[in-house]
Amino acid sequence: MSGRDYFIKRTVLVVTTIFVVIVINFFLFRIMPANPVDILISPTQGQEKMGIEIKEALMKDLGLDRPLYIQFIIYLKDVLQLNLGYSFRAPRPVIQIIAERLVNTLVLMFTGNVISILMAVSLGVIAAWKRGSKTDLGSLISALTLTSMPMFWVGGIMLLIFSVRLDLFPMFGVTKIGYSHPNFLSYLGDYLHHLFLPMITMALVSFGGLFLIMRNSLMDVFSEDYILTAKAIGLSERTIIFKNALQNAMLPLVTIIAIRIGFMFSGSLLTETVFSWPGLGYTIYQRDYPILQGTFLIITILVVISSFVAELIYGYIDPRIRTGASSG
Amino acid sequence: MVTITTYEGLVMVDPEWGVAPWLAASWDISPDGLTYTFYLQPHATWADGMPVTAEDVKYTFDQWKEQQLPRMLPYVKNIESVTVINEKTVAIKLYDMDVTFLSRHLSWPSLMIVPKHIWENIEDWNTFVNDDPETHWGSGPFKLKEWKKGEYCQVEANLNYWMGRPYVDTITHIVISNRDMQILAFEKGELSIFNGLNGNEVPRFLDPEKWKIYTIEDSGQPNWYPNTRQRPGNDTEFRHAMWYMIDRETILEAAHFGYGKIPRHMLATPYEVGGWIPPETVTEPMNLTKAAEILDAAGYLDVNDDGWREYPDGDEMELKFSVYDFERFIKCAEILIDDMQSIGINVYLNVFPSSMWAQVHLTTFDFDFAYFRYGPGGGDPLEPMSWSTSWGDNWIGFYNETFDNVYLEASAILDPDERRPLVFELQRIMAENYAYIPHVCNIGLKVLNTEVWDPLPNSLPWGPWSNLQSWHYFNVHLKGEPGAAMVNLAFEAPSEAMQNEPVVIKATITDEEGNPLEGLYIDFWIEGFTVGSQVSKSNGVAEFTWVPLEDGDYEIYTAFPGTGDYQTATTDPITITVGAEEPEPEPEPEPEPTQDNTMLYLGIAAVVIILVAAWFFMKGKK
Repeated sequence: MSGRDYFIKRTVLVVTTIFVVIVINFFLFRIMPANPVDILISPTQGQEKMGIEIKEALMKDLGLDRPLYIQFIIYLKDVLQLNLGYSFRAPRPVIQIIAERLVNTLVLMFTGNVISILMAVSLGVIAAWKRGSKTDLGSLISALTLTSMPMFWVGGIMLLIFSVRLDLFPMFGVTKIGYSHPNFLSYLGDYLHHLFLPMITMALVSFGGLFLIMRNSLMDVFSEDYILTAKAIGLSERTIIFKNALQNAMLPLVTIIAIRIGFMFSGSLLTETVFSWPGLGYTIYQRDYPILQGTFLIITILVVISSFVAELIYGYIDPRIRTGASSG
Repeated sequence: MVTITTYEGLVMVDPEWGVAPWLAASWDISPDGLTYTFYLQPHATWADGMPVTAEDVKYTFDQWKEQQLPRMLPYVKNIESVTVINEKTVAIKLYDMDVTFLSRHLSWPSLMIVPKHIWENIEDWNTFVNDDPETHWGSGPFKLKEWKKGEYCQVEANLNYWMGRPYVDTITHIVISNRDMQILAFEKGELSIFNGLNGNEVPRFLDPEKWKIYTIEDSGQPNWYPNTRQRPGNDTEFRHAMWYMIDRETILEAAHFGYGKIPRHMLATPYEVGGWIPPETVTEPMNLTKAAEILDAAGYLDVNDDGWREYPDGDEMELKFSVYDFERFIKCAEILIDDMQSIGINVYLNVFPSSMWAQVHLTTFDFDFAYFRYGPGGGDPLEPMSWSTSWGDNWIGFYNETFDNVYLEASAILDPDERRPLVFELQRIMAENYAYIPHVCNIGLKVLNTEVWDPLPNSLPWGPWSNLQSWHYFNVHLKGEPGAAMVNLAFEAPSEAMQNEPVVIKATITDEEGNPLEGLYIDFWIEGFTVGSQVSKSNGVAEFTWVPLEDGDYEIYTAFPGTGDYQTATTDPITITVGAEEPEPEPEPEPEPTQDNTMLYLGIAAVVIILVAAWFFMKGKK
């Protein structure tokens, strides 16, 4: 199979997946318990006195009284036009609300995971090369400890130490309240200052798993004959690690990253709620159907596309994948 | 939260559940009770300086009616027409008489008057969002400054406010999605006010240098509801037994941490202020023996000896107690369930996410008991009563013809004093039928950062209108008219008192010449808490009765929060020494049970065995 065929096959698969996602996304929210209108008049809102007639008026207003298949056709047509409807709570276009917040989610997810991958690769190399040393043991123990700690707990502790006690970082938001930044650099500085704690929390929590995989796969590679040969012909340590070993050891890591993209999103959404980071995390707790549907759709499409990109990279790193050749 | 500081309503509910003027300076009601004529404040203006006129009021109601926005419908559906009489006078005609119309449907923050000259430019109502500082203009003391969606919203002082400029320059509403983080941010000083403190969190905020705690009685009705649509809730005798199953003292201590009040009758305790609760007390202390006797007599017996009672016809009885996932509600329900199980009622707890609550209780009615707070916004006592009529929300399904008739009769009487006996009767009908069981009324806690609030004059954050959520934005910070007059405030209280015996504290307020001042609110402070507010009588005296629950020394003082005419005043504190009651003879302390170390020894033995096995295993391998 040529590289072009591989690409076309993958693309068709991606488009089909996205369609299935749209279908599931529509029906999933229809079969969930609780009617969205009930939430609008939920007792916690103090609006229970509205009563059933108001509820019916709302159902009609929101189009929820029409047959399911008609609701679906309307939905499909709108999605293709990127019209995800209006929020139930504030009459604003969903796509606008999502766009405002998606940037923050993506920034947090991307930076947090890049840092965690960089940490995992570099520490993994050191640990594997100096196997059994104190550095190896130390990073192994910290990786295992960090992996077993829940995100919200790490986040809370980070806030307590660095924000409440030491007062080094802000507790919420993306920028200082009511502060108009004179130029872009000052805005960027402020943004990074707010980003730092959630980003580090994300990086720490996802670091452990990646580190363990990196270390183990490097150790496997180090025991291969060709490494022994490389050592025997007198290549430098640096050349052996970065030219011969790392490229092969990266394969499992890339696979894991591709598989974990979905988890990266959910991790980011969780982190957001702890740090009051105004990303998509907060919107999805409000049971606002159009927002929920829109958010899930956008996130799933992003996950599908990211996995697609990861597969292409994978195919590039390991030619066996794209040619379909068997290893051996 | 934002619009309540930037827009205003025509009227306001006052602390005695009466109706106070707001944008409407006064009003007349026609003898048939159908036409309300409002005379607007002569000086009221919008934030852009344009006067608030009768046209604006007409436009507001017409728009809500015309646009058919479901959320606004309950407020306007009874309005037949709105007529402009002159620039500052407007008449509203109703279809049906409704004595709760002013307090329930017109009062801020239910319905706010909007400026016609701005809102008439709105093209599409379905997509209109009022988030632009250039056009978000109300008549309130603040105007919108900046709104960053999902992050914060800032309002700033409206310098042209018709009642004078507020003291506070900006108020920022910040979105912090996690409650623990909210408390942390408040402790750190990032927030200046925190609403909804739990009783067990109070010790964190006792330092008077940093924090001040206010208590606010909740006007909501916290009740234990049987589902009267199905058995056993439809059996009056079963409900009669329920009347004795509720241990309010324990609930008050364990679920409310002492911050609550035990009601005497069907309406919540704050309605005592307006005299809306009948003189007799109907709630009874827990008496499980009596409850069991009533159940026995009604035929709820354990016939198959499985430890649980059966229905009178012998069917198994397994009951569902549902609450939504609010910590205090769950705790209350657990206490109730324990007591019910102890007399052989097989009942289990069913916790819902709050978002599913309405689904279960408005649509499927799938529950046997529920614990719930029904929260009227305050106002006329007929408002919580309307819930139990056969046309009200009434999801427990309690229908009573006499109740409906008395309600209709009461709702046609405008004069509160004439209406009072009927409101008493309504409560008695409910109590006789045990339609639902009054629980413990909550006392809400708010805590302030004194660094921010103390330097402000009139800085009692919600003033006398403590039952209203956000009144403080208006009341506190308005700069009074120039030359505000001084007052003299003094108070007297006995220097010694006994535990559990009432202490009367008398505060006297006079003007500079010593003439008594009537109708002003005096706050009574004990150990750093406002424990109550009372209005001064014609002799300038406001009286407050306090019952110390524990012995010890208490620091007491009184404060006058100020009005537009008079400046604030605070008295020096005095200390009351409360003596302990005669202690009951202490029971012999039970000998401490010797610690059971069996588990520890077993654990050590297990570890030793594993180590030995591992050693043998390793040895074998070698």
